[in-house]
Amino acid sequence: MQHKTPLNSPPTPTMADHFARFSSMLESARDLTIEAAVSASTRLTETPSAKRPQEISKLLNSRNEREVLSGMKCVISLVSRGEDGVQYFADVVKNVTLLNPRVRALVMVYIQKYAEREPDTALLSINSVQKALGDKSPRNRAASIRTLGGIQIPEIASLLILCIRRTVMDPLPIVRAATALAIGKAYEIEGVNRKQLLKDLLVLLGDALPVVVGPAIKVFVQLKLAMAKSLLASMSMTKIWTPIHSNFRMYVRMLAELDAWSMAMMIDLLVEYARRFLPRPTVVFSNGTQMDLPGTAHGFASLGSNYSCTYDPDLSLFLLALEPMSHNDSPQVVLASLRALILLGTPRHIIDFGFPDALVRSSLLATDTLTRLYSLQCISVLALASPEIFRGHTRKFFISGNDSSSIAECKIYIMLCLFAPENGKIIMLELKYNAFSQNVDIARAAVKAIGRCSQTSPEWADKVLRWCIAETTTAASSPVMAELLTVIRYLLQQKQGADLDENQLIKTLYKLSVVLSATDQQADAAAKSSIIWIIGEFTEATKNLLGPDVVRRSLKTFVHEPEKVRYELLMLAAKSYLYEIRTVGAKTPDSIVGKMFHHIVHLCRYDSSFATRDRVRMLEQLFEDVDNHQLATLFLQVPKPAPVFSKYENSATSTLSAYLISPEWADPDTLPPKTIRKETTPQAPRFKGINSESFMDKSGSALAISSDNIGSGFSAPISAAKNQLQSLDEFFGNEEESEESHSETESDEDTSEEDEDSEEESDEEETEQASETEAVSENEYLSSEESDESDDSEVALVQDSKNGKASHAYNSD
Amino acid sequence: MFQAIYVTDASHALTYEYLVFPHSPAFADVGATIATKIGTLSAAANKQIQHIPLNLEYYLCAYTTTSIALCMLCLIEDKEKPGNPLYPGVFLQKLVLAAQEYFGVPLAPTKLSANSDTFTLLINEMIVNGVPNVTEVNNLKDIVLLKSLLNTIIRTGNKLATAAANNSLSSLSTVQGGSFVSEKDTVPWRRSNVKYAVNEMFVDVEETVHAVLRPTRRKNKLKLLSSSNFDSAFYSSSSLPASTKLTPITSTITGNINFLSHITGVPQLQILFNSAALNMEAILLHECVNAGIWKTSRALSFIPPDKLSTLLSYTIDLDKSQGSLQNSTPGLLEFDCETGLGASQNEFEFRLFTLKDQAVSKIDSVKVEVFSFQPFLDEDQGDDHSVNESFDSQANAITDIKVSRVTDGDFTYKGNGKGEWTIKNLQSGAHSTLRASIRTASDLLSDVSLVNSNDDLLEVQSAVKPNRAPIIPTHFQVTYLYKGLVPSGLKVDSLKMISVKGLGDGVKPYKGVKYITKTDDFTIRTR
Repeated sequence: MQHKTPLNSPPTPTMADHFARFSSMLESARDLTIEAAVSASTRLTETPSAKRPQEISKLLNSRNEREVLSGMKCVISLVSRGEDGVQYFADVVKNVTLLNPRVRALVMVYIQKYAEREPDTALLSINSVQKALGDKSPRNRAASIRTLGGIQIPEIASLLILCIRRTVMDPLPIVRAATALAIGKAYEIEGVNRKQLLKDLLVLLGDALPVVVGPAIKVFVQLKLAMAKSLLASMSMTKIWTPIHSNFRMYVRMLAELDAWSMAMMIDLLVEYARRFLPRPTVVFSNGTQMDLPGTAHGFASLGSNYSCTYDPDLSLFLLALEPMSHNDSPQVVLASLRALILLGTPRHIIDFGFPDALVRSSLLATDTLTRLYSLQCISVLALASPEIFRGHTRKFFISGNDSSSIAECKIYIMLCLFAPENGKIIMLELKYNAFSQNVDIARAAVKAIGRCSQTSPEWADKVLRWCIAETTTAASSPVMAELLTVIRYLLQQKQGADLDENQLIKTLYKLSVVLSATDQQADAAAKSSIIWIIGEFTEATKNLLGPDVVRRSLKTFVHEPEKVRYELLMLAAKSYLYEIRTVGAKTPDSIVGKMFHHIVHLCRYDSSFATRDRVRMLEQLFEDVDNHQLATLFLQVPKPAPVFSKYENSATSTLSAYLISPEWADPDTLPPKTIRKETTPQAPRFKGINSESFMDKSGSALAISSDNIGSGFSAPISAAKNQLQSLDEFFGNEEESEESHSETESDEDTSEEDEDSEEESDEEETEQASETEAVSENEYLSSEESDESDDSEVALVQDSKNGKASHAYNSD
Repeated sequence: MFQAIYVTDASHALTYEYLVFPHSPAFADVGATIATKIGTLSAAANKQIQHIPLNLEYYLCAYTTTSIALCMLCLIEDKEKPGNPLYPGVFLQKLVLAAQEYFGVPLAPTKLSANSDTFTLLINEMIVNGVPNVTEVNNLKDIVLLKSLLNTIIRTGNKLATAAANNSLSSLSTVQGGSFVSEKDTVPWRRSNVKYAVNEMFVDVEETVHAVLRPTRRKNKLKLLSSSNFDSAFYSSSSLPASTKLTPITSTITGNINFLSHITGVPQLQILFNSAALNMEAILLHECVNAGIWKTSRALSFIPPDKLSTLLSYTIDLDKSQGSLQNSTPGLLEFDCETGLGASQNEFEFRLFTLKDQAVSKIDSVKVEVFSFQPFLDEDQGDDHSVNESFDSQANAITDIKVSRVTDGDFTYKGNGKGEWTIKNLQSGAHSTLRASIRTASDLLSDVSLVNSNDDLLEVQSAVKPNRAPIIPTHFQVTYLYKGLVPSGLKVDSLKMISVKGLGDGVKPYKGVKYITKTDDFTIRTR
């Protein structure tokens, strides 16, 4: 099509076309080179290992950049084969000054890996890495700060702090984002000034750009765990959360603009925040009763359908921000949002926001089975609590030929949860089909599920029983026989308690006994012994009509029966005999039943099985004496509990259900005032990296996605590129003012500590003023790290909330 | 948290490792355990991501194919408060995607070890502090360049070509200089400074049919009616109208709008659909698509990511739709199947009809897998008859599926009671038939016993034969693919370029639309 150039075309397009053809040709050649890249590097690593180090050092010390590059490739290739590359450290470090970006990137990866082991040599490289912080290219600045953070040498800790303070103020977002990552790494260095790092992180957490807040949140989540571990038990977790308070509303607005990973982590973080600091919503039912929002998946069951819910305005903002998440194409975000709605919302939210459809689709469509499985498990958790959510999708859980056992089992469980009169018929049909699946696991699960469905109503119980009996007679050799018999036994025992029709029971048991004799070539030992057990168990109820006959027919083949069957036959004979003794009243060894019993006893005495011989001795003693008959009755006719159908569980569900748990709702008395979430900075003109509005507006269309959820209070950006530096200045300038006023009221109690701190700070004060004031205001938060041992931490907590109120009064003026 | 990435080859030996933290366990420490765990994975795990518990401290998230295994070692965090369980799996998928984009499909151990430097830089960007960082291929391409001589030539070649196309060879130098200028106004999902010599864009509308079909009895009257409605040659020619009809018990269409963009600069595009777009449910939009416009007018307005992306995914639930749609098989292919035929009731006939449609000249590939019942097949026993099995189970084991008539394509028996019927390039409007019988060991025996009338065997035969149920296939699994039409009837009405920053005025990109229908889970049950 476009390759055909008309002959009489003007010269320029033809040239373009030549170039195009040339480059598309090369494009296809590229694939070949990927494998051929073996070239220099691999050949070198394959040279004899004795010579290799010299060769590589020679390359690394070369003046030719290309040789250095192939030297670096060799080193990285060695490292990636699990060999130790530390011996080249000195040679590699030298090259950090090279301008070739690829060499530099590789050197930086290498330094981060080995700096800890060669701290002295690594120090040599610090200077040049640090120099790159002043580079014109933001990518280089970002790479440099990330590398510095990754160099885990205590000696450079103080230098690192300075560098970080510098890059925190960088005008370009990608450098600030890299700084956040560097903070995360630097935090682990021993003896580093963690307080200062947290202060810097705090600045980044308040950044107006999602590109920066994303990484900052990831780091915050990690540090939160580290802090929680390092703090003493007496310290309250509350303080760690200080930076979130004033940013909460911004985060909620920003949610849709974050990248998928940050989004999922942010949602989890905000859920935990809401559980800790937001008042628990109240549910009001249509009949006027009130209750607290359950906030768990199984709590949904108690909600019914007629209710309304009152939310804290901040919480409802957050929940609303989750609405578009059901359209997100990252499964982790969908799962995180779903968890948020389960923990903080109601089933209505889940339905209104379109999550059921999203889950069903990912259970069908997701490319990897792991995501499918997790979606199904989410559905099963929800379906258990409120099946009505998924009732319209019942057919979607029918099992297809490609499903693996774990997926099919999960689907069967879901169908079980959805089982209701209106869809009972199709579910039962589906389960019955699967009861004879080729996959034994699926078949067993299906039969078990059928058993559980039968519990819903006596009508179903009858149908299921009839079906089970029919199936046992036709499919005696089926691997699901044992499950079928369990269901039959369960149903019979259930009925025995309620409305057992004697005729029906006898008919049922007779059919079972027919299975026993007709298929004695086929039925396996477990199934046979099960049938015999069932017949024995109902000796009383059937007036011993069947037992003697079964025993009589089995006697012929007794010696050929497997061990389990012999044992059960012995027990059946004993039960029959006992029934006869008790009804006839006397010991009648001459009756047929008695004779058969004694014959079996005789055979069993020489049985190969220890258990059978043991049981025979006991039975003999019991039947020896008439006085013992009472005891024998107790022993043989004791009512047995009906089998319990186990609930569906597997390892994956347990991780999922653990993920769906969150800290308890906070005690309403300890909640901080709402004003704590008042944004301390007036809305800074938001510079948006995407600048989507401008182009969307140009096209004459509505607002971009991102802005859909931002709500009001967001001034339209004018020219992004121009505004950027300005906005940052403004941002910090504003913070300065408000923070100062805030801190004045807030930290009366901590003044002494504060003074000490600010003295400390003044030494390092050669950097920006903005962060300095920030530092003072955040003192309370940071002092938690220091004042571990102090007993007054709890007092401080109370103070915290009181001061919060005070500061609110001040601020709202 | 992610601790390390290991890549192993077919013999589970290390080809590449990346340790996220200096103290992460090296492959030398855990390799032996990993090798045994991966070795036990079944063939079904091919190209799937799985969680494999390793020990109390770590678990493994692994992507395996026959030639390569990408494993990620993850630390088991707090048991009480585990993180999002999907992180490792989703991340590994992104890693595989990125590696495929950089090193080509399929991944091979040699490719990765030859480019270990690029792979290391990639992972270094993707995992920071054990947490996923940048994972989108388009963004990664800005950071980690696939450096090779040829690539540089390609890039300059493209630049020259665009410059030439814009009639401005003189502007070339300025283009090269300002590589960081555009940093500020990049669209996050789009690679900065995209340049193409040939500007083109392709929309692929791809729908996947999921369905489970089951035979339902239909009355004689109905049958006549439907066959008279269906006035096509195949019904009259088919030997016996079936007494049952296959109807879907569940069917779903899932669709993707894939977009391949090779456009210079930052284009703003719009796609309009026909009315079938109204049926879409459970929409997933790519982040580049304006959700507001989609909601109001069902049009896609977007700035595409460079190269391939999925703009929109949707599902259409056919179970909910009423009437005729619900009872007809979605797609151009219809099926019919009869079992229990022949003297010993072990034959079946599978018929496949393709409806005629002008847009579809042929069905590219059809594959029908036949699964037949094997009562005693346990996984560890396999299809060879182990000694402790009873005689009867041996007799029932399926040994072969024998074809008596096949009109198109080839049928092969794959073992384990499974057969495969493949047809390539089936003309639309055609119909094909497969008739085959399922042979079991007892069939063979009876053949033998006819020859030499051994007493024992005769006895067995008489015991087994009378009460044996007819052997029928349990289900058929169908896969097919055709181009030109999608079952929902969705059509792209127009693809407009609203504005392009950085593309010359006179340049009209080539536009292409393609419709593809395929199947994912298409099961036909026999009862």
